[in-house]
Amino acid sequence: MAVKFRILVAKAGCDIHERGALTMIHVFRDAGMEVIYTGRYQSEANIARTAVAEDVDIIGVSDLTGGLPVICRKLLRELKGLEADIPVFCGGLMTEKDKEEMAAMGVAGTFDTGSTPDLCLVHVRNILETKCRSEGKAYGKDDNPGTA
Amino acid sequence: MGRMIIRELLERFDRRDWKVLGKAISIVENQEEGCWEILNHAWKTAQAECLVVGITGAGGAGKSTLIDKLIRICRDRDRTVGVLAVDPSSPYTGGAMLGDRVRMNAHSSDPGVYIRSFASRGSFGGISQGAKYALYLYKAFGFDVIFLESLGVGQAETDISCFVDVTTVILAPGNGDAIQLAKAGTQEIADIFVINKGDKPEAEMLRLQLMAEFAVVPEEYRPLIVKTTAKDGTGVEELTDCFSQVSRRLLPARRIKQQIRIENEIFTGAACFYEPQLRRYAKELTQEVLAGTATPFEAAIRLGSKILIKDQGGIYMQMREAIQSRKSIRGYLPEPVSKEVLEQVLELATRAVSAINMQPWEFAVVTGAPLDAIRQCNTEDLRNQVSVDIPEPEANGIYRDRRIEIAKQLFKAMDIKREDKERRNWWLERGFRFFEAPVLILVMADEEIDPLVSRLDIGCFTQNLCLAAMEYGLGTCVQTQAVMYQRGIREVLKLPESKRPVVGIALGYPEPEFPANKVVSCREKVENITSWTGFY
Repeated sequence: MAVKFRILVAKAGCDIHERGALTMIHVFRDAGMEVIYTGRYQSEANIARTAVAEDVDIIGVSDLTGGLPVICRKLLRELKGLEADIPVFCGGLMTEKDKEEMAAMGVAGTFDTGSTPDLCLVHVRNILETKCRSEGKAYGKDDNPGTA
Repeated sequence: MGRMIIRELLERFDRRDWKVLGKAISIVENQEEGCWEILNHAWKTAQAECLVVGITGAGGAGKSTLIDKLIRICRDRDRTVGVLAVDPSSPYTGGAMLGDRVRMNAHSSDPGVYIRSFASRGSFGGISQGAKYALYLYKAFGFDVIFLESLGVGQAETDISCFVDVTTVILAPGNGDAIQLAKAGTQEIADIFVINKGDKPEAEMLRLQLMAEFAVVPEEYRPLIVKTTAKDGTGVEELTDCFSQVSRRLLPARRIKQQIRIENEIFTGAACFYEPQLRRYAKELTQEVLAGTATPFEAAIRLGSKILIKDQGGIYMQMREAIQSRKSIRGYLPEPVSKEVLEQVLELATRAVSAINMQPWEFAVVTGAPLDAIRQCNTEDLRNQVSVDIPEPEANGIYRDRRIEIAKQLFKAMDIKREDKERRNWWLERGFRFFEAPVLILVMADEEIDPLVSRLDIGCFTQNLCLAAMEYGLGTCVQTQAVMYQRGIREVLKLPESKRPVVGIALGYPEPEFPANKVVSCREKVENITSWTGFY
C-alpha cells in the first residue's frame, strides 16, 4: 500500500489570522494528504506533543505576527526533547533575515507572503518523497484513487 | 521496520511510553511490517477494565466539543483518557482534513490524555479500519476511559456500536421531526441519546419526541436521554455518570459484541489479504466489460469463481491448511455437482504418484437415478443380511482402539446411544448409501495388475482427490464400504469382470450443520510411530 502522507498544520501563540493555515490545509488535502490541524493559540510544546502522538511526517507552522524564528526555534527544541525527527517548514510574515536565520537553525522551508500554494506544495512533496525513499517506502502516485 | 525494532517498540509500549504509541498506530493503520506482531501483542495484553465509549452523530452536532468537556471531567476524577477521532477521507483525492483535535486542544499538554486523529480511508461504517486496530492498542496501553468519535454520520452507520461498550448518539435540535426519529439505523444503536445545544428552546421538544418514540419499549431497555450544552459544559457531569450506569446494564451484551467483533476482525483480515488480488482482476475484467464481451454482473461472478469463492463457498487454500483441514464428510447438501467441476477435480487428482507411472486407475462417476439404484441394492443386501463380497479389514490392539475412538466420536456427535440398535442400524445403512452424497466416484483397477501395486497407487490418487475436491468447496468420504457389496455397482454400472472396484469416494457439497461433519479424528503423535536414525 502506498504511504499516506500525514501533515500537521500548526499555529502558535497569539495570532488570530487563520486564513493562511486554512488555505494550505485545503491545498494539502486536495493533494491527497491527511492534514491534522492544531487550531490556534498553541504552545510549541503542545505542537511537538501533537506531532508525535499523531505520528505526522512533517509540520507546517503558519504565523503572521513576525514571530516565526522564535516559534520555530522553540518548536525544534521541543521536538528534539521528544527525540522526534520530524521536518518543520513555515509560512507567513517573515523578513529575508528571518529566512536566513531559520534556514540556519534547520527549518526545512520558508514561504513568505508572496509565495504561491503550488510552490509550497511541490516543496513539501519533495521533502516527503525523499524521506520515503530513504526509508525504502513506496510513496504513491495512487494517492489519488478517485482521479484515475 | 525490522524485527529488533518492533521488539524494542513493544518493550517501550509495555512501559507505557506514549511516544511509541503514535508509531505503533501508524504501523497498524498502514499495515506496515510488524503490524500483526503489534496487534497480537495488544490483543494478548488488553486491559479488561477500561471503558470504551462511542460518540456518534451528525457532523456539527458537537461531538468533539462534548468529548473535550468529558475529558475534563474524567481528568478531574483522576482517570486517564484516550481519544480516537475519525474524520472523512475525500473519495476524490484520498486526502483528509482532520480537525477534531481543534476542539480538544486544551488537553494537548496533559500527559494523562492521548488524542489521535484518523481519516476514514474508504471505510463506510463511521469508523476506519485503522481506528478499529488502534482501539486494541489503546486497550493494551491501559487508558481508563477511551472515547471513540465516529465521523459525522447520517442514518446508517452502525458499525461503531459493536466496537464500544456504550454507544452515545448525539442529536442537535432542529435536525428533523418525529418521523426522522422513527427511522431505523443509527437511532437504534443508541444506549444513550445526548441532546446537545440544550440551551436552544427546540431541545426540550426534541427530548419529548424522543421519549415518546421509546415509550413502547420496556423501561429497562429504553436508551437514556441526557440534555447537554457542550460549549459551557452543562449536563456533561450527568452524562459521565450515565456511562458507568449504562455499561453495568449492558454487561450481558459485552460477550455478544465481542463475538461480533472477533468475527468481523477475522473477516476483514482475510478480505485485506485478498483485496489486492481481487482489485487486479477487477481491473482486467473492466476492460472486458468495456469491450462488450461481458456485463459487469457476469464479470463479478467470474471474478468470484476465478480467485476466491469457488461454487459453494470453498476458498483457495494454502497447502498446509488443505491437508490439515481435510476430513471425512458424512452429510451432504442435495445440490448436484456439475460434470465440468468433477472433470477438473479428477484431472487434478490424477497428478498423483504411481509406480513406474502405470497409473493403474479407472473411474466410474455416478449421480442421480443410477446412484439411487445402487443405494437401493446395497440397502436390500444389507437388510437381507447377505454376506459381503469384500470383508471389513480386521483391527486389533491399538488399531482397534483408534477405530473405536472415531466410532465413539461419531456416535456422540450424532447422539446415537450404544444400546440404540435402531439408530445404529440407520447409521450403518447410511454408510452403505454413501451418506446420501450426490456423487459417487468408484475407483477401479484392471485385474491384470497386481492388487498390491494398484492399491498403493490408488491410495495416493484418493488422497489427492480429497484435497483437489476442497479447492471447489466439495467434501468427500473415502469408503471401502462402497465396494463391500458388488452386486449393485456391477449391475448398474455394467462393469466387465476384468475391472475390480477398489474403493468408492462419496462426494458433494458439505452440509455445514450436519453434526458428524464437525468431528475431527485424532492422530497418533509422530514421535510414537517414528524412529530417527542418524539425527542428533
